[in-house]
Amino acid sequence: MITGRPTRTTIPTTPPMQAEALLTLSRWLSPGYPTGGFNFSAGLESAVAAGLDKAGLEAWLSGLLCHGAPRTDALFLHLAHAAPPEALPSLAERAAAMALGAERLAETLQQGAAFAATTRASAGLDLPDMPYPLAVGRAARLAGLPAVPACALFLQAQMSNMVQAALRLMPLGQTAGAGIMERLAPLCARLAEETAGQGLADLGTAAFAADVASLRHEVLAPRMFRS
Amino acid sequence: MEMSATRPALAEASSGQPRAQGAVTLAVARRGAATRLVGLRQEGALKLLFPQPRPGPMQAVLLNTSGGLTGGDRMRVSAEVGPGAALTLTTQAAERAYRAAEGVARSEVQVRMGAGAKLHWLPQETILFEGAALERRLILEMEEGAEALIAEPVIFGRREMGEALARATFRDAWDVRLCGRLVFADALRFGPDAAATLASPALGAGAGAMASLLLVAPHAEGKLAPLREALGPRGGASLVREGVLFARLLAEDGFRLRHHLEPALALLAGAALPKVWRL
Repeated sequence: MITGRPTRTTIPTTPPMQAEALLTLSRWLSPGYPTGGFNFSAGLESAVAAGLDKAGLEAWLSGLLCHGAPRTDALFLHLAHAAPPEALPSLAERAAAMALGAERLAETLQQGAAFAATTRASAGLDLPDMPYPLAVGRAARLAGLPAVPACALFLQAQMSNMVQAALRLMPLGQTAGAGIMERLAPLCARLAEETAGQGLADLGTAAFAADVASLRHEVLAPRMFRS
Repeated sequence: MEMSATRPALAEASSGQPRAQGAVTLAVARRGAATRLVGLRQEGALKLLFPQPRPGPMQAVLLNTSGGLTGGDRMRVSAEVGPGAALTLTTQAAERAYRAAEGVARSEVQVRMGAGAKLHWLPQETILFEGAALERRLILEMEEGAEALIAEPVIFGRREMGEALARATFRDAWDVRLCGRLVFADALRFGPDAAATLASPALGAGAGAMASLLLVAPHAEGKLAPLREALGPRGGASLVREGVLFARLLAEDGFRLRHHLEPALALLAGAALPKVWRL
């Protein structure tokens, strides 16, 4: 900020835990973490088969992010982060019940189980298998990591996974894909903040066309992805 | 079924007060081979009509005598379907959600089903008018061997009348429990900027109408392939888990929605649709 007065230059001193926390979260949510996310397209593959192209991709992704399953996931991540352990089974039951199709259910359960298994083994956390956003929220809580950055990174990773899928499904190009991610990032940050402190009554989506695409993926042939 | 079509004119919403309230509580039970009414209470604007008995499940038709829903309205339906009993519930006409000057209209449906009971919850369309604010809940508790078919068609404004939906809020939440376990939940939520949501490609994708269908039944899997056929290119269906079949369907308008919805529901119901659907 320019104030007209000489400003004192300070070099920010990041506390060691903050950098470590950032590294843990980015490690857990990097494509290299073995959750098998690259297998899933969250209905994008059938949307592309039905005509979604490069011109419509960004609007599709931002709509899905703010009004579709990723928003539900963000809310569940926060709820799991805040929940006492005895509340986790009923949250897991609801998260699974909200999967509208078999592939979406497999996507969240298999990625959750893979994330939990890896994190138990590598970080030594007592993390039972549960749907993916809950597993991430619970792991962050157990490791003493803050919920909002965990949620923002989780959302960005979900979107990044879909852009990676899009790169295989359409002539998009790495630079255009990076541009989309650049513009989705503030939405991820905003959604992570908005859903903090929300409850089960705030769950809800309006991604009707994405739901239909996701449901129709089961009968898409040929296909590369499992959702 | 005989009934007059007269409906009281809309009352002006008085500030802070519920505009219209209605509640229907009913219980049906299996008696021999048939289903009989064993309890009925009707309050306020909601009435239940019973068409001429036909073989098969008991049919009951809900009528909102206030003519529509608007801010502050409260409607509640509670039904108990005893073990082995079979009930089909529908509505006399499309439900109109009018502009809400203030507050939201709330509507809740709760059904408890005994072992082996059958329920068809097949209301006609809900039409969201410009400025509507509607929140609905549907809670279904099923015991072992119970079977339920649920369908909720929603129309976004009246396109055929040249009315586009610009601002409206809509929420609809379903919770379905089987033997105490939550086996399916859907939650819809949009507004107040309905126009942006309905136009966005992953969201409404320009559709003017939508329906959600759920069949919870042991034989659900066998209906999956024919259901996909019936839904056409803008619908999708999945056997989410054993005995739980879900479908979502989009259409340009209410007329085109029915074109796919009616055969889909007849297929899932294994029977003709309630007569009021075809009036």
